[in-house]
Amino acid sequence: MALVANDVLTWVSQRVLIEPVVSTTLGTAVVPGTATVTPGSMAGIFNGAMLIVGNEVITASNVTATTLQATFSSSHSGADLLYGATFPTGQTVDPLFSQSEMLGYLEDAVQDFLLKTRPVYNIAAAAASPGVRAYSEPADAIRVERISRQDNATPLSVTRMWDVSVSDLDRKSPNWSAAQGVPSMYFEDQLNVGQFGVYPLPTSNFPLNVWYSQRTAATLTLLSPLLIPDPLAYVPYYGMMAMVFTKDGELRDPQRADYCKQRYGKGMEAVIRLLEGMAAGLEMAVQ
Amino acid sequence: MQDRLEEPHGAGIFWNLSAEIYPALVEGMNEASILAGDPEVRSALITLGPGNTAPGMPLFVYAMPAASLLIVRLDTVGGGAIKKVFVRDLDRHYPGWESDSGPVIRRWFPVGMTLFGVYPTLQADQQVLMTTIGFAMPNGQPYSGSEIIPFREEYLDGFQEYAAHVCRLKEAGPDFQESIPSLQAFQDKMVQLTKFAARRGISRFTKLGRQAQVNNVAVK
Repeated sequence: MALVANDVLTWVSQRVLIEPVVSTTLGTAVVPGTATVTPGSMAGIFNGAMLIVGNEVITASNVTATTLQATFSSSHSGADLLYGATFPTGQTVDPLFSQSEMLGYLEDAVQDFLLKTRPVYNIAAAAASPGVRAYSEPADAIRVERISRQDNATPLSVTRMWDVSVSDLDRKSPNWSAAQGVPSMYFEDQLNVGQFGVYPLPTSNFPLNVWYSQRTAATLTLLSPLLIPDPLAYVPYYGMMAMVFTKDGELRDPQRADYCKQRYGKGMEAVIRLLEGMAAGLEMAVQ
Repeated sequence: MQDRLEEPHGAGIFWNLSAEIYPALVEGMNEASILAGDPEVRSALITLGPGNTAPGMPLFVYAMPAASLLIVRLDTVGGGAIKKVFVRDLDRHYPGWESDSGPVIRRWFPVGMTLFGVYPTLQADQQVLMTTIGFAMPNGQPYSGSEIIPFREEYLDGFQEYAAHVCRLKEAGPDFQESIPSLQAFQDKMVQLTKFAARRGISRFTKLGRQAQVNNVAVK
């Protein structure tokens, strides 16, 4: 079962910060729309708390001692689980931490982990159009690793494109930018951020397969999957904890922050060692 | 484990058994998986074919089996190993390799930790045997405590050392500092078990049969 962001936030709540987490039932059957429900327990629920019910995240409002109001996009029975790590201490006047803050720390840690270890790849379809030089990389790409070109309508007629730089093209031919034909090379330098270019300039449409190392969603929600395999999730968890303990506030703890930072670093070293030793990348040396 | 934390046996008082202690033990198992490359899992027959490639991917790319960290090897049903290559090797030798198709897999290649590919693209289903490094706990939280630990006996004390240490992170201060030797004991044990793992399976942590220079690394 793939871990989601709420799972890691729950680890932080229960295992380190000693914060209660919401784990109850919805209490009232609902249909799509705004409804007031009576959960089995209101512990940890406050105005603005994000909670999970079924496969959606709701935001509690008009919270009373026994009820909350929220907008639901799906129907749910009263027995459906209502849960989430809400970090209720001090809410709403003087919170120690907020859910959005914690999600931000987790996102930063996961992105950093994916950047440094690159354990996850994806392959996205793109298309080279006539007369167009530059194309956008996939939005979730850390780095384009490889591009292949489909030559005609037959699905299996595919050729890899060579990874070059603009300097290579300059050496090849000073007038390379005027050349047109079947794109056989791609480059990523001297372009806008998040773009790759093709050479020569396409004269017709060519489907492309863009292989890239993948990062997680730009903004995590409680139900966002972590992208990384579950056994590795504890590594960015320590990276996240290092940020938590360096926050300027009541729970500032340089000692535990330093420990978590070291655990995060050592964890990444171990993952890189595993990936290199098992040769899990696109080539012999992963890094 | 609860004895190490001065907790009475049962649901726990300061440390919740299911929410804290069990996950701490599993975290130790996950760290052991990364360091020692265990547990290795030999699959039952897996069918690869044109009908079950990874969604949205080229027809030679498949998703990793569930609860698998990395593929160690692929074998045909007759017992012959399918050789491992890398995408870059295929690109260097034959830029048009993606166009090829055939009845049997001749090579396989990793695509990170979540995908793998075969060469050539299969025209029909083929059954293979796969050896992977599996997840320590495939099913995820919450843990009941009755899950089978897929590690050998010599790992178990290390998991207790590790969990006893990470559980005390929430104590902070000197109480947490005093648990650091437990982490060091776990790491020392993992160094030894990494060597055993390499001795047991010479192809572990090697690159296509060549010994990688990581087997005897000291875990700091």
